[in-house]
Amino acid sequence: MATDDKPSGLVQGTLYMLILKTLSLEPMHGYGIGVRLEQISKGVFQVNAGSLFPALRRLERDGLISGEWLVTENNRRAKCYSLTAQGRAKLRREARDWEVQTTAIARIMQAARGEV
Amino acid sequence: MRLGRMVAGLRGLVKRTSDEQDLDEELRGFLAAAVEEKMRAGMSRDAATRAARIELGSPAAVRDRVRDVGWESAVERLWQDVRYALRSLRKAPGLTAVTIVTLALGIGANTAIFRLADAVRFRPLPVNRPEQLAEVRMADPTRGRMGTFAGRRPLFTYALWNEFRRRQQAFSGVVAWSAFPVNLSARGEAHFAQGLWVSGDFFDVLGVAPRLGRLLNGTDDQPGCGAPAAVFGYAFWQRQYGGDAAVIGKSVMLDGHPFDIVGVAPRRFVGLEVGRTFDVAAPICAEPILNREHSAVADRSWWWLTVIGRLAAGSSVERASSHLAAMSAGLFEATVPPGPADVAQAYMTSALKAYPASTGVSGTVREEYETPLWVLLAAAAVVLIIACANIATLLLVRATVRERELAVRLALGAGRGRLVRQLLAESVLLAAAGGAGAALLSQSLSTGLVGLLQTNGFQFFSVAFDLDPNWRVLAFGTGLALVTCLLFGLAPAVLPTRSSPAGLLRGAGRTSTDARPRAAARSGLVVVQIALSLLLVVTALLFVRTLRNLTTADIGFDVDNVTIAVVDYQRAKVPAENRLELQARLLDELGRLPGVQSAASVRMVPLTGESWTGHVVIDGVQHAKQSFFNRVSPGFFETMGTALLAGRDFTPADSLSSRRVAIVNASFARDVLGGRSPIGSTFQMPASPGAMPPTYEVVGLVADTKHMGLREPFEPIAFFPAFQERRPLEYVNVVVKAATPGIGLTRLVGDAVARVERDAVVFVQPFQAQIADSLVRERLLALLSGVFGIVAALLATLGLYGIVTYTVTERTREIGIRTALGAERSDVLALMLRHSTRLTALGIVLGLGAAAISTRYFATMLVGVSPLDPPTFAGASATFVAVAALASYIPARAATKVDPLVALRYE
Repeated sequence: MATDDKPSGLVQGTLYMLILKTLSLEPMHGYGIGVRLEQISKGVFQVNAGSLFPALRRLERDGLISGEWLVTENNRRAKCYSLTAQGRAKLRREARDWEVQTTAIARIMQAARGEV
Repeated sequence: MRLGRMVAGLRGLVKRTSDEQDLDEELRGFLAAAVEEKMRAGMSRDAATRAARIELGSPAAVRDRVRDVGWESAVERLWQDVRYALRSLRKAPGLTAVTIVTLALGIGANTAIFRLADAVRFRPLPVNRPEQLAEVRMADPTRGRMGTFAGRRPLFTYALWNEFRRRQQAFSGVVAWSAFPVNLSARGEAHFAQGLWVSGDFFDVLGVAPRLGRLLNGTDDQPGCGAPAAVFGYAFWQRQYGGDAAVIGKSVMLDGHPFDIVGVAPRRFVGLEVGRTFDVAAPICAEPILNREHSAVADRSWWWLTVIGRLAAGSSVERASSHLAAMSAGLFEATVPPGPADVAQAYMTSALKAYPASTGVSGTVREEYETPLWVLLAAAAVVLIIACANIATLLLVRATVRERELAVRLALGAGRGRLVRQLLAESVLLAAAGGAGAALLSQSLSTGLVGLLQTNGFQFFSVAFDLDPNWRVLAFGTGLALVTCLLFGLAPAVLPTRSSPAGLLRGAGRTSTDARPRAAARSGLVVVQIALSLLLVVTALLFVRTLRNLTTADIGFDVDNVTIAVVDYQRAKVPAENRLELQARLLDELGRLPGVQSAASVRMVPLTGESWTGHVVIDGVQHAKQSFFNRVSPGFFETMGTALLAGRDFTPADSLSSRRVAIVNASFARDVLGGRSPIGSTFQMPASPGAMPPTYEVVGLVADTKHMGLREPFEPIAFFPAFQERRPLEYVNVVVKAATPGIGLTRLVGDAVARVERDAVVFVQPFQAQIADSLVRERLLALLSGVFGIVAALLATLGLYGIVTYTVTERTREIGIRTALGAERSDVLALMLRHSTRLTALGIVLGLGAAAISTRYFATMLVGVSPLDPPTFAGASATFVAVAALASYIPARAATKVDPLVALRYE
């Protein structure tokens, strides 16, 4: 049984950001989020339920996303998540930070001898 | 955000079930969506369901982890852990009760000793701004001081105090005081209380407010005060007057003189001296009323006062000291006491200095008891550690029993951290219960401890301590409970979850190698217990031998049947010229009592700490070694059972009209007279400049006797005849040798004294009590360290017994196989004993090492025995070998009785 908290290879804390990004495209239920993440990342990130649901719960707790029970096309009740205004703001901030960080990291990784 | 989480958490706690249902539904939806997805990809329904299930994992685990998101789950888990721990503790009521009681006693004993040590060392005086207080005394009190020393901290004469008070500017206020025994009864048997002479503004400067009435002030302390005022201590007021408010305005008789009761001091203020208290405080100006011609106020060579000042705002001890140094020359020149020129010269060049006094000053209590208390605290802490090791062993054994339960829970997905927390919760609960019990116990334990310090004789002042709990005591107790919890709880909590569940579930748990860390932990604990308890036993033996050495040492007396009677007849106002005649009649009357073999008077009762010392002059040269002096009546040596080695005893003929004679002891003859034939030789006593030094002829030689205390070596002593006393006092100490001392004798003596002088007051006490009183510290150390040593040894023995018993049960199958294969009983016995012998040997070696290192820290408290005394070390080790052998032999023998058939059928 898995005891680690995050999907393999995912940088700590990025799962939240990825979920927010996914939901910014369109509201979605839990399974859909997982599938979408896998699709967009071309199978690099596989998010299992044990990581996904705690993350959703935390985001909901923090008021970044809100869940709503809807009836799906198959006539089943499903909880559909969408971004709140707070969540949108948070996503913008995170995306900017991420940008800055990855650029910086990329620069360091490409540094030539003597530069470091 | 924080607040949002808080609210969400609270909501989560309340509407837990609907949340859970929602989550379940969500998970079902997740599963259904996954199945549909996979079927769309071409899987059969069964295959898709299986794959989706594997992908999702255990829904319960997912639920758990979602639940863990909020803080409220931590609270919930904590509560669960506590409930779980309570349940499992209830399942083992015996173990739980034993553990809690052990902890309560262990922590309680430690806290009790700490309370006392705190009161002796750290507790600030219960006065206003105690940090501003500084004691004033001579920088070198051994120089330039001669005369009479009275009270517990005699550092000032009245003249010196009076000049100092008038001249000083270093302090915003200064106070002086002196403790003295005061007799409350007018005649007959004496009732002593603790008196305190205080300067008028004593209470004002200290900032102490009255409990009742008013306290003394400057107007009460005017030279020659006629109708003096007195203030009661709170405890005395409660004890003697039942806390009656109507005492204000009445009068109290002190040594037969009336004093007006004006007020009662607050409960916590018991004076400025550590470990002491006062019953009645009276202004210094009233001292001459009690002591009349021997008044300390009028005598410049009478040292009796202690002085404390309150530093002016912004001043410091250093600034005060430099001010004192500057004023010293003039101060000392103006107050020179009479005496030899060289002493006066040293006096005039002395200097005063200030010392911090926020925790009070100490006459003897702090010096005498602080180190012993720390030693005892260390011993009690070691006992607690051993007890913790025992509890840890018990819990470890229990953990082994619960091994399978824990393995199953691990396999079902319980987190290791969670299991550790649950096991730790048990320890925390045990420690908390033990700590609570200790808090209840420690008050009475400290009171009992103070009871052990009480004396009942001439050291009339009993000790008293403020034992109210303060933050230091509370912190100490709580800290101790926490530390013990970690000590006994950590290993049993961490070790069981270390092993792999798979191995345990295979069912081979009994002999599996997984049990090794725990077995090692248990063995280690037993070694630690043996080592520490050996250390304590060695310590206890050293203190017991010290006490024994002191009580059986040759003191030069045989005082088994000797009783001391102090006869105080100052109320009778007997003129000085009649006092020797009164003393003679008194001795005669006492000597003729039925059952009394002899009675004699003595100026300074030996072993009370009273002394009269000086340097004798021989052939015009002052002898370098200090001698002790005393004054005794004919028959004193016979009464005390001291051998007369040569010459004669005093006789009634040695009177004021005959030449001055002396009897010396063997040390005096050897050290001072230099080995010449003592009988017939002469020496002179020092005298003030101008006076003729009196010459004494030695007429007798007696065996050495102790004078100051049992611990001191024999000192040179010269005895002078009582009836050559030029300034007889208004009291006389009588020693009475009677066949049957006791209450009956006390009454007989009282009646006899009353027949001679109706107004006299008598205080009677067996001499043995006097000796016992001088050994309070040694008895305390021997008794408590002995108790600690025995308890520690018992605990260690139990620990060893437990581990061997456990090993035997654990290895039953192995023993069965060995026996079946032909092992003899002796082989099995040897197998079982090998382990315990190794542990014992290791423990003893470590214990001896620890003892060798630590005993020298209290070497100064030992008498007549070295801190590395080989017989003590050897004896303690031998005892441990014997006890350990027995403790392991009994369970090991059970192993030899194992029936191979039964053992192998097992499981």
